[in-house]
This record gives sequence, structure tokens and C-alpha cells, in this order.
Amino acid sequence: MIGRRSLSRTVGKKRKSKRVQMKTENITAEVTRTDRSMIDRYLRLLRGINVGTEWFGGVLLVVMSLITLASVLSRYVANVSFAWIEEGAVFIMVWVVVFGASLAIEARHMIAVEALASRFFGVPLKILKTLVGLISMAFISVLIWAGWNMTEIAEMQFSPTLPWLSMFWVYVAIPVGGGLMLLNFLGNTLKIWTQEQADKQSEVLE
Amino acid sequence: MTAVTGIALLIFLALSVPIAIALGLSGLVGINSVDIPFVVLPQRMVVGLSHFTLIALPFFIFAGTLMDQGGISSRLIRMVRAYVGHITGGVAIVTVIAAMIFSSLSGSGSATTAALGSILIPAMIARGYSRPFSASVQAVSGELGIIIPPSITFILFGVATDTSIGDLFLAGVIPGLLIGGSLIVTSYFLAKNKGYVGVEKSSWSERIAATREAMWALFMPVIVLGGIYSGVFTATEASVIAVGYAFIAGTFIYREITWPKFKKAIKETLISSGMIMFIIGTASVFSWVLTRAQVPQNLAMAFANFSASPYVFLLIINLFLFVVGMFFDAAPAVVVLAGILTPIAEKFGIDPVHFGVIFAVNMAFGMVTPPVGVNLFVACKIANISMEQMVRDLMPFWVVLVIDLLLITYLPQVSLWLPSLVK
Repeated sequence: MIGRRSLSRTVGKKRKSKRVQMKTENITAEVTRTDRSMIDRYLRLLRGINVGTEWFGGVLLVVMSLITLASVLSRYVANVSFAWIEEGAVFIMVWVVVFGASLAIEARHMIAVEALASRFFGVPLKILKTLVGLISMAFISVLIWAGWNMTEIAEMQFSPTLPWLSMFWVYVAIPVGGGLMLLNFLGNTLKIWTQEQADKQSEVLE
Repeated sequence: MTAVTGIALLIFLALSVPIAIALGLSGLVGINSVDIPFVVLPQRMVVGLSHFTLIALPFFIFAGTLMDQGGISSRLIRMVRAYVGHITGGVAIVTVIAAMIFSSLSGSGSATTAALGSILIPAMIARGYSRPFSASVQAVSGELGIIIPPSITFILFGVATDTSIGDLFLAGVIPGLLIGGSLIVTSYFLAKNKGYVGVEKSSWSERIAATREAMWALFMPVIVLGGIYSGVFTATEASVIAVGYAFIAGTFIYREITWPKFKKAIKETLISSGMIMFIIGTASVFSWVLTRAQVPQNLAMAFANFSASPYVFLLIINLFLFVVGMFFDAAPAVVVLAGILTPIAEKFGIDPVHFGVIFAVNMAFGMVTPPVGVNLFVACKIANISMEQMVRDLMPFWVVLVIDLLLITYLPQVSLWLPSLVK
């Protein structure tokens, strides 16, 4: 087999680091047994919230598809077009994006440049991941705060084609979605220390 | 403002902060350094996302996941194998051709790699093809996902530069066939050299049966591309028609989409489009900061002073985009750079549609180049090897891809001929 020698070398390295990782995991597990129930309860609650997000986001995605399809078909069949459908679909899309992004955080599908992280193992990797989690949470917190301020400005603006719709309902997607993302980043950071992480790199999905 | 923003971005990226967060944070650093209120952050994000043309992105992802859940990958592979599987290196050639067809259903490179690779990489290994070779073939074929339409990269390029997405889609067809064809030839000769054989030859009745099975999937690119080509509908309209078509084909014709599979397709669509579009949101903030700091103008001046020849310009752009593609994902690179570089390219007399193709091919190239090639990452995971082990088997494919890239760059007709027929 080609490359067998180098293959077993890297596998061996990984296995060793995994052993070390598991050992530290056991120690942390014992020390923090008492705090675990709180964290577990939070993670269970978070999963419940994410199931809700999946439902909300999924329904919005289907509605967005149906109204866009209806608008395209109506243009060909009846030769009428509704500008408000296009705008409405775009507003729904903003909500779909923030819901989807918070699910992507839970699924660890946020792409990152892993060149540095892939050189770390065990506790240093956990510290790096925690740092990244804290940086992410800091950004999302600013986003929530600024997003909420923006909704106050947007309250006075109205959509051009949907005059009864205050832009508040579009912009509020940012603080609401930001809140969900913050909860998930916190969840992921807690999982670094409480759950066994088999794969060191985050999943990539485009 | 520019310097701090750029340095902040590099630091955050090096720390492996998610790209979406890194772009938003460094944008904030730039905003903060010139005392602009932070509300521009959510404002630019929403403005960056509120384009009706962008809606094609989640729709093409949705259509792709529905097709995948509808069992289309295995049917396509069976059909292609029935025709070309028996040739020397047959399974590798099947991989390239299946990727070309799958790319016309899916808008993304790594989705193509993942959907086909999980079946084809084990199939190649089972036929005695080496793991690095199998992973390399799959990874390089997956890059066709963003060149052959529909393509997420083209949608983003079109939105960022106000170029017709329909034209970009049509412009991607021949470069996609060129790259696909050259990969088939390369795989054939490599396989011949290594003594990799094909599978048993199928009879014509088997071929017809397999074609009939896959027919409904083959019909989708006909609808999407044919509709755009004939001017019946726009790319955005095609995207939602593709969703409807994929749903009907998967549910009522193939009868494979059940409620759990439908839910799975929805969740995957939410995750993939949420991830990419969140990046688009924060990347719009970042590019707004760059535009405010007049980076595009300064860059254009620097280029104009440096060289007047479009050939030299294209060479520099290719090198630059290649390096960017090595480290960046296609989505943020397009959102940040397409709007800056395209006006410069136009000053050099380069057609924006042609430039879009050059951009996409470079991004595709980056997907199969270490250290952060997404396709390599996906293929390595399936083949269970490390990226370093692949490098030697990737080399011949790289050389071929460079030749393709140069052909596409310096022969604009390769890209522009098909869209010119429509006008």
C-alpha cells in the first residue's frame, strides 16, 4: 500500500494525543461533576430552542419558496407580477439566514481557517477554542446591541411595497438571531470542556 | 483605517475565528477607528442580504439537497458507470463525469464532493485505486460545482458587480466542460500508468435502464439552463423552479422523499445557506469599510501606474486570486473582492462576465490547494488519509488545472461565446 508508513505515523500521533485528551477529560469530568448538571440542563434547553429554530426556519423556507414560485408562475400564466411578493420573500430570507446561521453554529459548520488550530492538541487546543468562542460571543454581543439600536431607527421606516410593514420587523431579525447565535456559541464553548470531542477540526460544508 | 482593519482580519483568521465573525469584527475595528456609530453593522448586513437576486442562493442549495435526498447521486453514478465504467481507470472517469452532471444540479463544490465522494471514493479504493489518487480525483472534480451552472459563486459575483447572473451561468458552461474534459484525459493516462482497470462492461439494455432511472435528474439542468438560455426566465426564477421540480421529482416520481428526508433536506438547506449568507452579511460590512476608505480607487490607481497591459494585469490578478483562494472560501472572497476588482478589470477592457469566470475558476482552484482547500478536506475525510498524503497525487491535476486556467484567462471566447449567442 502506498503511503502506509506515513499513514500509520500520523495515525499514531493522533491516537496518542487522543489518549492524552481523554485523560484530561476524565479529570475535568470528576472535578466538575457538580457543575455538570447545570451545564447539561442548559445544553438540553438549548437543543430544545434549536429544534424550535429548525421548525420556524423550515416553515419560513417553505413559505419563501411557495410565494416566490407563485409569483414566477403568476407572471407566466396570468402575466401579473407582484413587487410586494419579491420584497416579502427577501424579508423572510433575512430571517431564514439568521435562523440558519445559529443552526450552523450548533452543527459546527462555521468555516474557519484551521491552519493554526490543527497544530494544537489536548488542553492547548481547548484553550484556543475557548478563546475563539469568547471572541465570537463578544462580536455577537455587539451585534445584538447595535442591532437593537437599529430597530429603534427602523421603526419609523416602512417598506416601499408593503406600506403597512414597519422595517422594525426586518431589522429585529438581527438581535433575535444574534441572541440564538450567542446561546449556541456559549453552548459550543461549554461543550469543549464537558463533552468528548472526537474530531479536532470543525466540519466544512459549503 | 484600512491598515488596522486588514491586520485585525489577519489576526482573527490566524486564531481560527470563524470567517463570518472575523470579517464582522475587523469591520467593527475599522468602523470604530473613524467614529462611525455601530448601527451601520446591522444596517449594512441587512442591506447586503436584501437583494432579490440573492434568493437564488438558498433556492439552488434547497434544490440540490432535495435532489440528493431524492436518491439522485446513486442513480447518476449508476448511469455514468454503465456507459464509461469499463474504460481504463473507469471509476475515476465516472467520478469526473458524475461530478460534471451533479454540478449542474448543485451550486457548490464541497457539496458535490461530499455527495458523490461518499459513494465513489470507497468504490475506487475497492477497485484497488490508491487512497490518495481516489481522494484527489474526487476533490478536483468537485471544484466543477462552482464553475458549471448553477453556481453560488456566480450568483454572488453577479450581485456584487451588477452583472447578469444568466450570462455568468452560460459563460461557465464551456470552461466547465473544458476543465471536466481535461480531468477525464488526465485520469485516463494516470490510471493507465498505474494499471487501474475499469468495471465490467454493461450491456445496452442495462445502459438504457440506468438512463431511464436518472432521466428526471438530467432534465433539471435542461430546464434551468434551457430556460435561462432561451430567455424564458431569469436565473433567480430558475432557482425556485428548480426547487419545485426537485421536490416533485423526488416525492412523486422517485418516491424517495419521505417526511424525515424532507425535514433533513430543510435542515441542511438552513445550515448551508445560513452559514454562507451570514458570511455575506458580515463581508458586506467589511467591504463597506474598505470602500469608505477608498481602497478600490487607490488600488485602481496603483494598478494603472504599474502596468497598462491587460495581459500583465490578468496575470497579476490570477496570482492574487490564487493566493486568496488558498486561504479564503469563495463566498467571502467574492463579496469582498469582486466589487473592488471588477471595475479595474473593466478599465483594462476585460468583460465583467469573462472576469467573473476567471474569478470562479481561481476560487475553484483554491478549493483543491492546501492548506485550506475545502474539497481536499472533505475528500481526505472520506478517504481517511491526511492532506499531506494527497499532495503527490494531486500534482498532475494541478498542472492540468493551471493550463485550463491560462486558456480560460487568455481566450475570452471560451467564456463569452455561449452568452454572445443569446444576444
